[in-house]
Amino acid sequence: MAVDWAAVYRQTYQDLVRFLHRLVWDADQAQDLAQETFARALGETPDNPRAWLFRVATNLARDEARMHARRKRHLVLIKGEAKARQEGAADPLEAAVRHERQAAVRTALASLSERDRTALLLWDAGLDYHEIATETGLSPGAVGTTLARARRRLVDAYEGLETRHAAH
Amino acid sequence: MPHISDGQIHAYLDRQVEYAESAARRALEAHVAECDECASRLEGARSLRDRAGSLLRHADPGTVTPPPFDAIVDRRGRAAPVPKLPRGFRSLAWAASVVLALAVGMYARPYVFRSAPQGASRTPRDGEAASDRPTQLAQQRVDATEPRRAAPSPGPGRTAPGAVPAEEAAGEAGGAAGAVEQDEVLEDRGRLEGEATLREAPANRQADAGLRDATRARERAAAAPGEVHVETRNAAGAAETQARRAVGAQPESEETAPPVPVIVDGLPVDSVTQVVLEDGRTGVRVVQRLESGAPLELIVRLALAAAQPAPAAVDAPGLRSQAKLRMAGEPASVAAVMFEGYEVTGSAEIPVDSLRMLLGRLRLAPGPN
Repeated sequence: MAVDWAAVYRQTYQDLVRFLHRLVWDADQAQDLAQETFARALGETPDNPRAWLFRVATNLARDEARMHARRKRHLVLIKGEAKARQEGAADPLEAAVRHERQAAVRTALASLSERDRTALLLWDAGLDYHEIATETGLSPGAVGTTLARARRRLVDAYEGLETRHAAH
Repeated sequence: MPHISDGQIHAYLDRQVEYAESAARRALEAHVAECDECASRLEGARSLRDRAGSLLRHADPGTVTPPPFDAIVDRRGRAAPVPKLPRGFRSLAWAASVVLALAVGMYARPYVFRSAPQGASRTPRDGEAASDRPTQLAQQRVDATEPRRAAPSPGPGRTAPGAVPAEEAAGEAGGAAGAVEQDEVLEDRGRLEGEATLREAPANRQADAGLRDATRARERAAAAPGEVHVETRNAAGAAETQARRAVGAQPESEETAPPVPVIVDGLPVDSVTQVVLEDGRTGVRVVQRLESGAPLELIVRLALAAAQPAPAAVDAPGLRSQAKLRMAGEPASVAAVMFEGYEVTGSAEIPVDSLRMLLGRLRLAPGPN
């Protein structure tokens, strides 16, 4: 059965970018990977297009993370300069707070197991329990338990970071 | 109803299908309404879910404006870049190319730089015949060319040079693959000789006769020092060569091999014979008849060095001493010229200028074909 990828694109693009951003932590790269995911989807006829997109996007982000690890030092230098210019135009205090929160969430997410993190991000991106079960290998009945644990650990990790930061 | 689990609570909060409008949902809501503990846990889970969701909003990329879908289609239409090999693989590819080239060169070297086969006794080994054949054939072509160049017009009663036995021809050609062409060479030479006694005679008889002839020639040379004894087909050198072949000695070098006959164009040829010269080299003696009926004798031998003077007639008393012929009547004139890599000494009872003119009409004797 042919897939109306244009319709899927309109419904899913922003969720996919948000999901990818929490994997690669770079807005431009997240959009680039999302577009690449849709470009690869054209011509494919998966049974569940939305779940297929997130699976491909996860693999692309994983590959990107491997390459990113090889060129990390170079990217840090360039992005640091770019971020300084961008933030210079906005409210510096607000930008600093946003950046700090994002870094804390990133750290908190990194403290989760990969399965818990994936399930949480997929849920937040809009996938239902059955789709999450398919992508993570969990049983549908275990998805709720997994999400409960992931949410708890995320909140606890974040609040622990806030507490340590306030103590300093 | 037992207390509900965290997973059921979160599934309820997340409004999954099985809890949306089902009996399970109604049962859970009824339990929470009666169970303060589960009601408290439900509120705690709701708060947790909202808190987690709000934290994840901090990780949003900001405003995302999707590009037109056509841009995605165009991106799909762009040709995928050719994947490049990693740096290590590229280095390995270079190394593999170099190793392959060296290996091919090493294995091809024996075939490219193979020298000509030496000696008549060499026979190709198994599996070697095919690769050796081009070289052998090339050598045979060289060998087959010389006797054709050397061959004078065959005729009855005419003596041909090169009483070459079969073993010598086989030694020049080398290898079993050239047997057919060797036979052709021998046939040519046999026709030129007009008689095939040497080929037909047993090897031991040839050896005995050759040794006897060589001994006789040496005795004559000792009796008349400074003179070269001209022999006909049974000349001492040829006989000695034949004898050496028969007893398995090494063949004589190319320098001492009999040269092809050279004649003066337009004069009838009386005889062509192989002779051994004073320096030990083998030559060819050609006797032609002048218009006056007087004989013209030519001694033809290979030039010693390639860088000989340009062809020019030279009075050669020195040469005469080297190639003094024992023939009826001493020649009045002797002259020598270089021709086609051969040293040709002519002698006749005519003025030297006339002799030089005659030597200017030298040509290679036509072959039988």
